[in-house]
Amino acid sequence: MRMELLIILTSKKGSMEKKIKLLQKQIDLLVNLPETGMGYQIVDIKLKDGRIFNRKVVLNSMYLQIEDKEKIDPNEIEAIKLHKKGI
Amino acid sequence: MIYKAYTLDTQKFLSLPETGMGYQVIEAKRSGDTVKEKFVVYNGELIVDLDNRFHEFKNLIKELSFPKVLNEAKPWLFETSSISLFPKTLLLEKRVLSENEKKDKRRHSGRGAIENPKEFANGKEVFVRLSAYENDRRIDFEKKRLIKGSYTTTNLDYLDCVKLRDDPIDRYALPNDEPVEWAFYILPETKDQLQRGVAQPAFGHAGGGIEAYFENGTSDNTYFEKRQYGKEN
Repeated sequence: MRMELLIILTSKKGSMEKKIKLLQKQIDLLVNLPETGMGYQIVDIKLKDGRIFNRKVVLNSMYLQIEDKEKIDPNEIEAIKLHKKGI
Repeated sequence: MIYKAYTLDTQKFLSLPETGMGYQVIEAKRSGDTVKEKFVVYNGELIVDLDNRFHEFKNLIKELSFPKVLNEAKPWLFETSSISLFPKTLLLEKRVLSENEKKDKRRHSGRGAIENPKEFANGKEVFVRLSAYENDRRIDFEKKRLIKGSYTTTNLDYLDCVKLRDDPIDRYALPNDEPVEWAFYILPETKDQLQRGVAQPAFGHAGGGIEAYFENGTSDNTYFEKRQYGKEN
């Protein structure tokens, strides 16, 4: 994973979280989908290897927020869709 | 509110695991309603709305005693098939403010925006979109409008948030802990529609700020200004 795509931050809850910048085509897709709340969307993600990540937060339709222990490469994302049940 | 469960619902509650000792947190539809709401069920028979008044009702039960409240509570019909246990992991991410805290910060109670009916903007009311990002993707800077499916708050609620030195992350229950840096101002036209409601508790934040959802966005040239958060100009 390219380092410039990865920003690590510590949340107020004390857990480590990462923000990954999505690919332009993924950003374009999300910009055309409704928000879940002001400034964010809750999504389900399917990777090309079959792994599924549910209820992930995307900020500003472009930054995917994941836990530090999780590994998601935007190039390996097969599908992103809005999580149906919101939060 | 506090309700008594019908026997059928009690049987359903008892078939589900407890959330904690003596209680369950469930989601269910009231009979005839389309939206699932959250409730705390005590002993499979006493049901309390899990909303911003929950602590008030919980204290009432403690004060009056469980048997007395159960005896006096009115039965309420739920769609038994809609009853499900609310995941404990998600429960830990939510909190509610006390009535005093809410009053001090001018926070509100009520349903989320998308659960409320649509209304037309009056052409005078200003809405504000708060963001950690100067390049907020939900603003179409070229056509100067809010894009479809985007949320804002009202200028009045934003001003309350600033004047009362409230935390916007908590007030609007935002998932990121990055500071809100920018305020984008929008004056929708009278043909623009919105749904108005209250930000619900989420991500460990209490919510209670006003939120406005623009399913179809706003008309061209309705976005008119960007300011730094808290700055008057």
